[in-house]
Amino acid sequence: MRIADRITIRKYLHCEAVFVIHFYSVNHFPSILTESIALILVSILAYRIYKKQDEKPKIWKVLLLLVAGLFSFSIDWQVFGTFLKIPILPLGAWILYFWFRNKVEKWVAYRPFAWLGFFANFIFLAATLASIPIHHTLYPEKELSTYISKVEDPTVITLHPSASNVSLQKGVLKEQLHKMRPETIDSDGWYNQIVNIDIEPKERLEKFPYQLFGTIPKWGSGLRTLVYVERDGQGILLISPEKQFYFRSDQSLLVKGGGQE
Amino acid sequence: MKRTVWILLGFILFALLSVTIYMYFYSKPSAFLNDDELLKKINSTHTTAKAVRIQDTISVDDFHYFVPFQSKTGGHGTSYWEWKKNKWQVLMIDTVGQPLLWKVEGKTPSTYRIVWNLHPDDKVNSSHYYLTRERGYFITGDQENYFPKVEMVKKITHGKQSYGVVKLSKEWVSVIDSLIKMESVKQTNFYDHFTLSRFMYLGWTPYDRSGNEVIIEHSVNGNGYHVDDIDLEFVRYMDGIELEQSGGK
Repeated sequence: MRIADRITIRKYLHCEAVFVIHFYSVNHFPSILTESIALILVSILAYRIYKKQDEKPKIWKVLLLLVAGLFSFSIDWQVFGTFLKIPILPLGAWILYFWFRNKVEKWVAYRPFAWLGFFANFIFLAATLASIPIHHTLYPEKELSTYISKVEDPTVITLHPSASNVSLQKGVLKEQLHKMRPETIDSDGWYNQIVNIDIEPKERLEKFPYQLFGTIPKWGSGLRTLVYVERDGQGILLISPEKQFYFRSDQSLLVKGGGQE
Repeated sequence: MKRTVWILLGFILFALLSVTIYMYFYSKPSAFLNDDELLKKINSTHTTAKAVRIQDTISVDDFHYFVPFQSKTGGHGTSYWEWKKNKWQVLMIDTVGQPLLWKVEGKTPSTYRIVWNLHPDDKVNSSHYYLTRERGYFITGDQENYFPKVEMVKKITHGKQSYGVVKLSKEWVSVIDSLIKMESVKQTNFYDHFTLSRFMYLGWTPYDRSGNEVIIEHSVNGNGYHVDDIDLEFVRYMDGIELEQSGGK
């Protein structure tokens, strides 16, 4: 029941039109792939219905019916950091039914498309579900190279007065990308080590006083992370909108002194 | 024949209209207003301002100006101007000039400016500005999250001028920008207005000539008047005790 544990109802019920094509601000290859397949599937189904019909409606009307049929009352669930839209009520189909209530012959020809529109919600839901394992196969969570596949013009910015200026050893990072091990984040432990009664505020040493810029995540992952580097240069804390990851190496990635390597 | 004329006429009218609308909204700014025009506009907009002298006009970019002024009673005020709808418009007038962060373009931190016009009686000789985020952690289920403390300082020495406009440093811009980009990835978009304070805030500590912290009295608690949409963020007064900096001044 691990999966069930992970499923959290993130948002309350709400109602909105579902758009077929998501315009990703980031390129997420797995969803683009599965949703393209879903779109092709819906087109094939629409074509088969259309072929069987004696009275053929105009193509643009078919498209309109499909889009209107998509409109549904749905619940948003978040599973593994992905939002799933679970359609509940076929609002679009109902509205169309009401609209054409006095035009029976037309409705007979239109109805399959309206319902296909609603059904398409489930096809897209399946596509989203299918993209999750693809995502986890292509972009393993426990590998640093998922988040940092390339480094371009790296700069290290010092965020805290307790740290001095450093720069990145690009070569070492490249070599360590596949070697660094994931470790558990001891968030409250770290915090309490820094903030406690024995240490004056002015003596506090931040554990991650550097931010690394210029890292590029794996192609198509759509991941965006903030990259913080540990004081000793051997740890990397990745902060993504949903989750954090911590990696350690045996070697320091940093070298004292400002400026570029 | 008649129809062709009508269509042609309609087309010309449409073209003229589009050009006018375009000019209205996207016109190149004309020369900035002169002191008399500025004073007139300030005093007619915000009657308690009682501006008598324009100290300077500082351009942030071609479309935005910061104008510090003096009032009849010796107060040091601030005003913010923008080229909008084909004319120079005042966005906000304040009778005091404690430091504020003017986010000229909301999500582009390179356009952010720290602006001020401090009263000379406050005797501020230098200021330290801080980009700050509190250290924090939270644990949900098996997920642990730790947020490192950010405390970056920018030191400014005030010359004879009571006012100033400064850009954020390259480092600050990078740090703020990375946070904005991170936020924009989130799928829950309840807000489209980015507020720095959700994650970070700006702080400042003013110092006098001998390097002691100053309590600002004359540059605060003024009377502000918002005319138009402007994104100004409060800069928090920070006590030395709140800082983790080890180096002192």
